[in-house]
Amino acid sequence: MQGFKAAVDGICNPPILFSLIFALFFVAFLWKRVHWIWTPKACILLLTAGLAFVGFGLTDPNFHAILTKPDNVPIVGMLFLVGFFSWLSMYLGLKNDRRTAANLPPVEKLESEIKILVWPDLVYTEMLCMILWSVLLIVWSIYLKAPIEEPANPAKTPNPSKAPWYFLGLQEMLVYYDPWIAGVLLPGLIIVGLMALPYIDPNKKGNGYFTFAERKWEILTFQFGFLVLWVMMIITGTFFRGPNQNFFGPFEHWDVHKLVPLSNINLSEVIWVRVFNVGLPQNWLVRESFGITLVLAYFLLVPMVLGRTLFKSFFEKMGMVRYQILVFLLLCMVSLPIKMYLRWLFNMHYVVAIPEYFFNI
Amino acid sequence: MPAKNEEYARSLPLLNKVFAWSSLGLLAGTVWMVWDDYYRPWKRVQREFHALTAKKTETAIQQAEQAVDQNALKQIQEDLKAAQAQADQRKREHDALREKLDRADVLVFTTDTHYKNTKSIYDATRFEYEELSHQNSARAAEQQEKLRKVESLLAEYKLANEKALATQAELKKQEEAILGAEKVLEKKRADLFAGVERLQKKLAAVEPQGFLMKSFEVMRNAPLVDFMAPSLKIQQVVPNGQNKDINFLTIPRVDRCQTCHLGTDQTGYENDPQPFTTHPRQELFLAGKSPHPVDKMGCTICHRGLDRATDFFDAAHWPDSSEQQAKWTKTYDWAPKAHESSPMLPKRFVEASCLACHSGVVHISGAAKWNKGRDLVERVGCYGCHKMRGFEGLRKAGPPLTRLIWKTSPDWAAKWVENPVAFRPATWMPRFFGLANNSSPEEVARTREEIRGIVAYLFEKPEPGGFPRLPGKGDPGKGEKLITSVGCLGCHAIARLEKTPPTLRRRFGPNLDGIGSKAKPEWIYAWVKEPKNYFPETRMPNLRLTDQEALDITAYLTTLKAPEGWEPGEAAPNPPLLDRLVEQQLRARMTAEEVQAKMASFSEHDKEVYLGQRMITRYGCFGCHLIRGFETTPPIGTELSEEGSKEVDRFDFGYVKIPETRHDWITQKLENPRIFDQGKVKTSDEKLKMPLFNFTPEEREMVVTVVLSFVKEKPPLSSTYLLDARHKALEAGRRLVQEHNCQGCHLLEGEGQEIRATIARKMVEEEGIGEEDADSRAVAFSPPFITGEGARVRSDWLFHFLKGPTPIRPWLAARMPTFGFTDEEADTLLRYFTALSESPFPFETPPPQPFPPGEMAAAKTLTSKDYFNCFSCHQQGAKKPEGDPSGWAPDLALANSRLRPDWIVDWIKDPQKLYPGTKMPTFFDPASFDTSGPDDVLGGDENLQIKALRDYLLTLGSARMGS
Repeated sequence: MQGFKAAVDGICNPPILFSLIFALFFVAFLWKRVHWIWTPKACILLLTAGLAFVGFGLTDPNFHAILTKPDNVPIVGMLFLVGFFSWLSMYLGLKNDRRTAANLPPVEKLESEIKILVWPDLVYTEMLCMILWSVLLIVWSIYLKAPIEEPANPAKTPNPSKAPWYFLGLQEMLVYYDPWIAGVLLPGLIIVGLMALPYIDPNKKGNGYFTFAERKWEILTFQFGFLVLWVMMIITGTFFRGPNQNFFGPFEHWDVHKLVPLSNINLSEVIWVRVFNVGLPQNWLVRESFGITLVLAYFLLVPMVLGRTLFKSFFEKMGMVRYQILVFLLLCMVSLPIKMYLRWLFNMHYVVAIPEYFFNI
Repeated sequence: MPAKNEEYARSLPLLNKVFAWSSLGLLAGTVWMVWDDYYRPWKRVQREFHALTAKKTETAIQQAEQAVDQNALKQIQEDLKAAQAQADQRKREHDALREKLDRADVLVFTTDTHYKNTKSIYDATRFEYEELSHQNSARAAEQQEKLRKVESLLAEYKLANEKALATQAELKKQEEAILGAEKVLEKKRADLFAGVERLQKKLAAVEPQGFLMKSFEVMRNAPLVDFMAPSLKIQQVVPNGQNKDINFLTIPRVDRCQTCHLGTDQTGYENDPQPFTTHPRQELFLAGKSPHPVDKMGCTICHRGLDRATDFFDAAHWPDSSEQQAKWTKTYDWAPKAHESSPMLPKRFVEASCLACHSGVVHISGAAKWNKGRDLVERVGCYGCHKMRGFEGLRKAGPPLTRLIWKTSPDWAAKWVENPVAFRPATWMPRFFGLANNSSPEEVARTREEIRGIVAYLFEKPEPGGFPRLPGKGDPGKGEKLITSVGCLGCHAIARLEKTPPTLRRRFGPNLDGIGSKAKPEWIYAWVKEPKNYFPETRMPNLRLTDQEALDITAYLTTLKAPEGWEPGEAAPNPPLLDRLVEQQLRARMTAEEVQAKMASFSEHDKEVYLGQRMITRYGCFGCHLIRGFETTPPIGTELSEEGSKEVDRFDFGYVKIPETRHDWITQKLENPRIFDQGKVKTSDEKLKMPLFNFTPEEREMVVTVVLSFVKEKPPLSSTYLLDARHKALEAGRRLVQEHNCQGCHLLEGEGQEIRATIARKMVEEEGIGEEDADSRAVAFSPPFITGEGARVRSDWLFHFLKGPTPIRPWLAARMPTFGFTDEEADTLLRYFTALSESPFPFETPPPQPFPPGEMAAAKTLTSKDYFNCFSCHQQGAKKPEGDPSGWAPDLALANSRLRPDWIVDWIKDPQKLYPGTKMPTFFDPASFDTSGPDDVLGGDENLQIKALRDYLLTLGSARMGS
């Protein structure tokens, strides 16, 4: 058991964990041979495995302490819900895809022809849900007391200091980006991007029914952003970030005194000092010219290249403006995992570092 | 029109079933929620308390009933019967009277109502008249007429009412004559049962009797109804002005402790278990008349913990011992409460709360443990390294090390520094070396080299001078006699002479064991002659020893040698290690190249001195000792002024597994100051360096109490103990008394005179009397009690005496030393003594002289051999009494200039009252004062006789100043 715990803790360090998640994500969605995981049997199996893991984990004092914190209990519950609904959408989507392949209409088409009464079929069920939810909430509130601590003290902040769970994804981004990007730009772009979706989506299929094959690209992009870059970040922030924002495995003790070496460098330092073997130029523009060029190339050059190659069909279907918006949003999204890998592999602090103007990327 | 069942997508009967069950579930959930909210542990506790009180009250009722005087009751009942019979006989008369009385009552009521009505009409009419007259209205005259009429009517009604009242009173009196006896007897009977009745009322309040009352009790405590007048309710006090700082807000403190601790402010629960136990110190706390009444002070200001909590866990109770913890864990599910910055103080540390309000005083009366802890902290000199409030401006705790060569040798110093306890087990000097983090072989080698360096630094370039050779030879035997008699033992202890461990005051001066192996005889001689020559700030006074006495004492002290097997000596030099250590020190301050140059310029001796300087800086030796080159170096320790409020997570517990609390950490730190280095990798400069103090576990607890008492929170002015002018004088004096250890010899404010035990011991040894005998005899042969000194002696005399003492009591072997008080200090002491006895300061009017010659003659008769024979013991100027000086008494010729006249009177009246155990005989027995004096002098009037004696004493000796 100790070996298993050590192995889990070993896997749980950011580069390994996230690489694993990235790989799992694409395998699960794209590799047809594992698509059996989107069947009800597999769902029960995965659910059982998940519960077994949690059950086993609860026997460990460190795991137990973090999972059963009153703040964290609802998050655990919601994780199972996210898993279930992701599975459900894929299951229904694949089912419809098989029907489409057999020249049958989607299930929803059949259902739309059935007549359902508002009373009792809708309203009665809704009321029952309301009552049962009330019972659940009452019992929950009796059992799990509100996690009230001492009065807030500016001289004694909690360690770790965490945002509410739904912001932990944002907080996790702060590890890799400056506050103005992680706290202002990226969240803003998420909202703007979600609002822009209907206007930049050229695919008219999948309206009113589940499908995967007909909206593969769209589903993958969204689920990558949601499951990997949002939910996984929340999981990381909730369960893996301990005192001093250090990363801890689920069976590891949250030791306040844990020290992790931190020696990050900027791109300008790599280029000037390591490659050219000279000191940093005095002028910041000269100093950061490589980083700035790189960032500009990322946002200007890459869309052009993609438009001629990989995204050629998009470009043709959407036209210049919509295509540019789509690629810009996409690049912003991908910039997060890029920066994460740069940090893990090269200790990259900033690509562009202009502390003179509090501008760092 | 409902659709048919089969048209529904879901089965309606199933939905109905689900609905039924889920509704029941919701109902059950709601009931559970209400119950969970309603049922609080404190309600159960209050019920238990009511049951306990009911039981106690029942017993009390039984006792009270038994205590009723049965004979008296019988008598009253018989009398009552007789009285009733008599009243029955006059029934007809009474009935007629009753009828009249009814009519009188009616008359009183109607006349009174008429009067009141007319009065209101009168007031309104008057107001109207005033208005009209002010407006010069024509109707004013008319109104005035009306007013006059109402006025006369009012007078009439008043008269009628008075008459009616008089009639009524007369009739009542007549009725009283018939029924009076019966009423008086009934009242008497009720009085007999008053106690029982009171208890029954109390019982009914805590345990309602009868079905109706019991149902009512259940009703008033029922959920939802209990907002009106429940019998189970939160008991709280909101002490005036006490606020809690919750960082962004100050909120009033609301102490709800008495919700469960119901018996704490009542007597009668002393032997009941918690939470009902009566507070053990009612005379000091809670009671309305005590200095800390609960409604003004509350509970948590002393005990700490969460004031508003009504639950054992939330209140942050903290166990006093591991047994208590085990018990609490079992009974209350106790666990350390996280997220509580101020948990309750364990009982043993509760005196740590006193200081917050009682600051600015030397000792806090009633806080024995804190007081002792404070004395210890001052004695061992914690303030040398740790800044702490209230200990500013004190002298360094240890002797100066600037002229060490005059006193001892480097060999001795090296061995001493390494382990002071090995040389002198009772020393105050703490131990720095051979502790938990520096006792491995390589550490020992390193620290020995460091010690060599420290010693080299201390003996480097001594101040020029030294002490001359001894002027002669002393006799150790005589020296021992002197030491045990002149008063040295008031402050010093010598293991060889002690039978029981000496008290703290007798450890005021250094323990003298091994002094012969430590100090040079020349130094000892010079020191005992005049300590201030070597150490100007020393507390050691001058005992005015003659040369020969000093020689004898020196001879005796040089016989006090080091423990067997203890040899002075420095470790052999280890040049490579020295080089490494010096380089290491230099490297932290300069570049490698500079180090090279520096090392080349150093001789071996320079290196040692340099290392010594670095080590003195590191270990902070200058905190307690004056060391050349470190005169103004700031202390090295953490400031402790707010240690009692320091957040627990700011303490480094390292890998040591102890409960994470302030008191556990501080206790552990004192017990093993280096333990928190355990398991850590540190360079020699990073290691913990606090030394180990020679404390017993009890002493440690006292010191922890003191450290915990340094808190950040400031109590409100209203609950702070403020010093008035008198108390300021007292505290300034107490400070000096403490600094000079007056209580080592004198009994002052009920404490001290610890030298008495050594005098008694000597009596046992030399005179062979029993220990108890010796103890009471020693009172007279010990330095005097001086609590009442301010009332006893004149201020001007005391001033001169303090500056240059002269013997007063020829029978005492112990000498009042010359402390070398400055004028200011002597003045402070004068104010202190006069404030203590609330005597006039500094001057008072003497009795007018000359005294009547008759009085003088009478006084002379009284002092003569035939009467009180005063001069058989008292010296009178040059005229000495006969016999051994041990039987003598103070010189009466001094009385005029020394004593306060009023005190002489009090003294002659009852010497034992002012000075229990004095040798002075009691001539006027206080038990039968009016017949105690001789009948043939001054008409047998005792007061006149005493006055005559006083006046006579005032004429002896030289004339006093100003008369």
